[in-house]
Amino acid sequence: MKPVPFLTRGDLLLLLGVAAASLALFFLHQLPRAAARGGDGLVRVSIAGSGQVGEWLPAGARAARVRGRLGEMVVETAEDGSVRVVSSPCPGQICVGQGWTHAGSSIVCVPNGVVLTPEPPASADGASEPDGITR
Amino acid sequence: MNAALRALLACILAALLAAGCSTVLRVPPKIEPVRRVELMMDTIVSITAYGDRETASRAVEAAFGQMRAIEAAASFYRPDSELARLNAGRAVQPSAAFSRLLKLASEGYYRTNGAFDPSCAVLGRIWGFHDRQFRVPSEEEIREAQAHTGWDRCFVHASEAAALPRGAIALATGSLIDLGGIAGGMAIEAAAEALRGNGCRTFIIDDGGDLWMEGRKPDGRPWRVAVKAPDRPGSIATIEADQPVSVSTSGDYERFFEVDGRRFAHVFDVRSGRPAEAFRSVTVIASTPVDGDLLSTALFAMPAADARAFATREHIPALMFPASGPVWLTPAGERWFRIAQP
Repeated sequence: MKPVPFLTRGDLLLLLGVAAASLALFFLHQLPRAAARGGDGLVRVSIAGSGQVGEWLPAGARAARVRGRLGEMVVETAEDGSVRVVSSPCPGQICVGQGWTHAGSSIVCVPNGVVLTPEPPASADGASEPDGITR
Repeated sequence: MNAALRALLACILAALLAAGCSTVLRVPPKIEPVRRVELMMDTIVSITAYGDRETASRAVEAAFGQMRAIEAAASFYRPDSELARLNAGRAVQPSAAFSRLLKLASEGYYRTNGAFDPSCAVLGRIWGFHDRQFRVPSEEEIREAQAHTGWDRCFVHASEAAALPRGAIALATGSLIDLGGIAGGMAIEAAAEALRGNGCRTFIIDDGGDLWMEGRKPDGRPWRVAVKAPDRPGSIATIEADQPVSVSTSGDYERFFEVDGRRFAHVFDVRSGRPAEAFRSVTVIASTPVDGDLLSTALFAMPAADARAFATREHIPALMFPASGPVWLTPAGERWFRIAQP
């Protein structure tokens, strides 16, 4: 009698297919949650009057360009998510003088209408993220 | 392959599939809020609101409209505001919103025994906070400016007021008022009303670090606010709000200048004519945004012992970070603040 193989090719394909589907479901669900939460090292950019939020600069950006009301400002972010303005078209240059700014503060360039906000560190389950910071 | 092995394999496959699906099914889909940020009243204002997207967007737009109306009346820097015209020495027919703001300022002045005093603006001018030409004025300049402080005497006297058009108000010569310590609170109040009026029940308004929050987030969690540490990055406490509350902070670390290593903040002790120095920050929880705004300013302006006595007597939940010594929590604050580990 011809021996019956432990797993046929069909069984193997089915097994791999189900495993792949399970993993895909898991990661497809988790990734958008992580992205929506923001996370360590991201800097949120808001442009006054545009209602524009949700634009992010990644950590370690050497010369990111942000367009404000007066023109383009050059921004640098560090690996820990702090941010500084390297150059700005605003007259007072207060944003440039502010230097490196960490989570909990923002750089506000009123003439150029740009707000740069380093995100506070996010916990694994989101439980410790504050919804606001009083200061 | 025998039947038992096939059954076992089928069970394993079913378990794998169930595990993958349960990850999706167990957690409800994340509901994204509507969030909008604007630069207003010389600071950053953000509103985050939950609800169906169209309703929440309309409510947030209406809320910003209400805040802009308060700014138009009470901005210190906009030359066309009612306040700016008053400060320019002109007689003003106050709008309903501006009248209410003046009434609230007056109540705040008397409630805090003058610690909250918008007429301190004259001190802000001589210390260079208005034109950002910061300087330490002479004793004589301070005494001269102090002669023009005092909410109860900064408006023209009744006998002179008779010469004004009916219903108009004007400032006494040399006086100047800044309603920044209360206008933000009133703007938040107006925004919250607009949000509610447009069908929004769950929202948080952040006016430059002074916050108001209502409702519970869709995941059932209360709003959570961190209190910024005045001396380092990070926070010194957190608050979880299970009811509508205001959280306001006055501190010496955002608007200040330094001379020879000494820090001068933008809140004044009217009795000394100098920037208040007792605290690095004072955070207050209140049942209205106006109360939160004016009480955090008033406590910050008081000497430390007076601030403690006042906050205890008035049952104010407050967290005080003094210039020296340990952080102090009022008895009413123990329910609210969770002190963070440094």
